[in-house]
Amino acid sequence: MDLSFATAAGKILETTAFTALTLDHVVMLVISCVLLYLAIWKKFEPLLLLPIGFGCLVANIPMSLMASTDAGGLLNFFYQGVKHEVLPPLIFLGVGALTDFGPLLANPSTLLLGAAAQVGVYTTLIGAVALGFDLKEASAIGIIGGADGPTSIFLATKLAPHLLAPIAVAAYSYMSLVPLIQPPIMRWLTTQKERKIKMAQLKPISPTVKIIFPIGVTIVCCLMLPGVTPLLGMLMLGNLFRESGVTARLHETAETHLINIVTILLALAVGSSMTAESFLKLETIKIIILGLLAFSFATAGGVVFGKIMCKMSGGKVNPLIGSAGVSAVPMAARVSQKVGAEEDHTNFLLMHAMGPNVAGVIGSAVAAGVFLSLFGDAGPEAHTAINTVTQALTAP
Amino acid sequence: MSDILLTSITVSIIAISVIFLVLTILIYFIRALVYLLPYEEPSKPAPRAQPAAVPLSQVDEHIPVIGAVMASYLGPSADKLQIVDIQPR
Repeated sequence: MDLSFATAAGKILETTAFTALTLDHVVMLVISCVLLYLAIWKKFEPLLLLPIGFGCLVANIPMSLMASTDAGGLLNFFYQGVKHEVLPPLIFLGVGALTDFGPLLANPSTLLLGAAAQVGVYTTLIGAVALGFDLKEASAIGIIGGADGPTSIFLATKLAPHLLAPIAVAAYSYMSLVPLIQPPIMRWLTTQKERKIKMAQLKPISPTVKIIFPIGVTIVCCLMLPGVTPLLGMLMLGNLFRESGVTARLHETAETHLINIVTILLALAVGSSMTAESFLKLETIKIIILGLLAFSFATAGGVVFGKIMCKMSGGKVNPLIGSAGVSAVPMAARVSQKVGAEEDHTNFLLMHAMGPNVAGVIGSAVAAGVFLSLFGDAGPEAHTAINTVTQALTAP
Repeated sequence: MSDILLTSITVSIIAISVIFLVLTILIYFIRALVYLLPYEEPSKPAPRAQPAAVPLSQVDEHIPVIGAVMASYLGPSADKLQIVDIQPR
């Protein structure tokens, strides 16, 4: 084989990625570096933003075959776990193993705060439709307000896979910004007197109740909304590992090694879906704005319902715990504690806020289940029913 | 108002109602559970029996034996090692 120096050098230059590098790739490389900066130096949700940022980085190196769409590539292989809805439920298994439902069981009314915070999901749904998204896309965008990354990814994969990357990035970015987004809204909607309310100590819960609870939730919720079984079922299985007391090894694996491994796979896969073609669109900017709207309305919904519960209970409920209904465990509960402690440093709201916080996880999963029932593969009949109702409403 | 916007409002109202319904069912389910299976304080373990005090005469017998064993282990002769007391645990 005749290979002169000039031919060899030319051949090597031709095979470098520089020859295929476009401005779009450069923009995406800058975005990935911003995500890495936020993760490493600003400590914004680093466990997720770092692998997402790095996945985005390698996916946007031309000819690397690392994008989620590059069949046969490494990250395409990881992406199958997202596409086939394997990884988000496994994350929920780990979350269930980490979660103590005790505060929720001790004060079950706080489940309503988890429901009220879903207002953000539906406000955003309407906003997204107004901005030109169809109902399936708007539902996938709206669930960002549930402040639950795996649920957002799960629903986006089912209803709007082409919007997965911006939805996942918006969801995780805003989750990391919860300590900045929530406090001003919480202070704005509550009075100083309300923020100072001290709540009664939670009563202890029987271990048997803690064991029966995940089984009961699975039966009740999954019978009503079968589409959400992969998420809710895994969440409750993880919790059953924890509470049953007979599967210590499985519990330990689920809450440590498994969730860590799956987080790496999921975040890299999401990052690899952030290609220039899928991300550099006007829709991405709209989704980022709608995501902020979703978080703000979700926080406001929880706090307003907290105020209603405060009035109805004769001042026994501190409305600040309502903001924790947005899921984002345990960050949102910590924010409730922090804002409460600013008014009175002897006020400990953390355990009270954990109730609505874990209720938010169930609430956002149920919200996703409702969307799947309406717009998923099994939902055309429900969609027809909605159209009938809408026509009845618009009829003269 | 466009049809799709009205549909989205209808969807939102239906969906939030379903969420409140499901979570309200869960609230009553939890209340029933807590009512039927109330928390019970774990029974305190019975206090452990204190070991009987060793009779003084027996202690006196043990001192030279222990002294001899320790002296042979440590090296010096038995008269350089003095055990002054033995406290039963």
